[in-house]
Amino acid sequence: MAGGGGASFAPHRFDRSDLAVAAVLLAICAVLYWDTTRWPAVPETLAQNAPPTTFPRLLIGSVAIMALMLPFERVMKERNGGSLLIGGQARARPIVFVTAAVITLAVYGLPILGALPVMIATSVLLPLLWGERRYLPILLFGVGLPIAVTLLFALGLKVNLGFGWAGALFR
Amino acid sequence: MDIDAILTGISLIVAPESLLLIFVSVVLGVVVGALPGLSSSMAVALLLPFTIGLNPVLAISMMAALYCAGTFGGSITAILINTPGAPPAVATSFDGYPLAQRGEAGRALGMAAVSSVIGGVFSLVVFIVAAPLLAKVALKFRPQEYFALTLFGLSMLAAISGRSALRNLIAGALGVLVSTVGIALVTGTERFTFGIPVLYDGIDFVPVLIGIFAISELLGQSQAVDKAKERIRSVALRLPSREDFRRCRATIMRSSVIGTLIGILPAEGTTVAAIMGYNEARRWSKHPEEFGTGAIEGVAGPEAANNAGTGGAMVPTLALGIPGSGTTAIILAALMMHGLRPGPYLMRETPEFLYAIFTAMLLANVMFLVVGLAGVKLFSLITLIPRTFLWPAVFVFALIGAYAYRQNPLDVWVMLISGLVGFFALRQGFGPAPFVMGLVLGSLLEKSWSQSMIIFDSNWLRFFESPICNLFFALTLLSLAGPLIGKGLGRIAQVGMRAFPRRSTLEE
Repeated sequence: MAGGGGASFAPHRFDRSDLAVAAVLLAICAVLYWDTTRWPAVPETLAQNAPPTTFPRLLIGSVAIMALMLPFERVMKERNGGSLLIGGQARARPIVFVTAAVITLAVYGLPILGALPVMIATSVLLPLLWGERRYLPILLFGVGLPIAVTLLFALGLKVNLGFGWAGALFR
Repeated sequence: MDIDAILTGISLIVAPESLLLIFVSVVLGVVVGALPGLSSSMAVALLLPFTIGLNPVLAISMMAALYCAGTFGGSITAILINTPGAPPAVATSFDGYPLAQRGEAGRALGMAAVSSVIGGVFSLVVFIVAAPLLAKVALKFRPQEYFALTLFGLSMLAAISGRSALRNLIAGALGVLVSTVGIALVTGTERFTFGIPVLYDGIDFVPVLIGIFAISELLGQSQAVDKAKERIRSVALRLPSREDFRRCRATIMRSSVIGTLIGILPAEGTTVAAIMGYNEARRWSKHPEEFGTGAIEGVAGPEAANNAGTGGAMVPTLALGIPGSGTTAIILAALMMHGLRPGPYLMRETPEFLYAIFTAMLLANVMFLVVGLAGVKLFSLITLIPRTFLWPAVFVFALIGAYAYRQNPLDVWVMLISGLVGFFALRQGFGPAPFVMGLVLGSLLEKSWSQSMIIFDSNWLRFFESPICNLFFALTLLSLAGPLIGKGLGRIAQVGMRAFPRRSTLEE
């Protein structure tokens, strides 16, 4: 179409991150659909018109259709003079991954070490990792908060914290 | 009206222990609301494990009180440092901060508090009248109508605050999909367990909620840069003068109505209400040019609307079991966690529950006015808490809270994985609220769908025999196609206006 609307009908390129997100979603849908094909067949009398695969497959289909539409959303918005600002354009900084690693270690260590040592370790490590260098507040925070939380949960809410190496304190 | 139920409901809340816990929730809500980055949704999610041992009525009352107070709390930092503590307070900063810069922070805070209380109380009156009526109507709903209603609730995700309607819908659908993990109730088939025994019982939503609200935000905060904020120092909350009140009363009432109606709509939250409240305040103002430079109506409008949204959002949550906002989706999850069945049956079987929540929210509104009046100076100081201590503390509470819920280390892993996935999803524009709504509503959607299929003997067309279903399906289509219809109408209007030789007043 030529004429006045020329600018708005100029070809728009798909955003690479949208294509990547759509591809990831389609891959997830494919894996989930494949999983539904492995579920054992259910006799009709038991399924009562609602076989266990139907509802999940409907959802998977809906997500797949929406994933296919995803790259076009930005194009359509830009064509209409708008923009799709979803954030996250900048790369995640390394500190995110280091923080994720520390909290993963904390979760891994929870049943081994017990709640109190893990809380103390994270309360000291995370502030240091995030650039805090006031050592006295770190120490007070690193000891005070975990003890307060432990007392609240173990004594106040009667949560069993008697697991891991430090669990003996609570048994 | 059931006087016994009213008295029982009130008596559950006015007990000293209940009052203390509600007061604590209010203070916590104001603090959390005031702290940028911490949201009332996150606070309610973190509060979930603490309430396990409590009476369900008290547990939900605490969450509702925190929700109200958190919505108000966001205005403190929005006005004082131009950093809204919570998304619903974004619109408050447009005029609140310029007022504070002019040395009128106390006046802005006072108007924010009073407007919030009026908006909150108005919505509670609507809540107490509308919820039982809605529940009475919903009692007549059959599974097919429930399916259509839930579908409509989920379709509203297309319109909730967020930058991408499609991403909201995908997040909601993924939430529903996650709710199908585990053994199917009707047939006993293992679904999406991939042979992992711990998934047989499904994925519990409490650790997921904690993960996606607390851990993903923590990871986001890890890369935040500390910015020096210009702090307004002389702060003393001042109740509005007669002149200010006279100037704002129409705005407050209008915003209260808008906020309540927006809150009642499934999935629409207080942020949308606040922005609409602000826009309408400007549209109806005699001095729209003052907006953005410190108009007092610019504070009253969004604050009345966002707090009215809290009471409004509780209407579909309690009457229908369909959350009115992201935070009420967590409250709905809490109801289920306490073994209660949200929806009309809750109202019929335990009407005192409704009156207890009403009393708690009413008290919360009064309390945050008192707390705000007495402690605004203190609350303005909480922004001084360094991020480097605040977020590790959030992690400690999330870690131990996720474990304490069922005293199962697996829940802590679920929380962590949800947080990690949530962080990367958030970066790609997938909001946590749509996912949570899908997760919480998923079981209801599938159950009502399965029951309908049994009733209909697999004949899908029979859904259209019900006028209520047709109404909800039409509303679903409208909410899904709303943005497109809006654009189409806009274009038609523009084309029509171009036909006129002079600019029409509509275009102006």
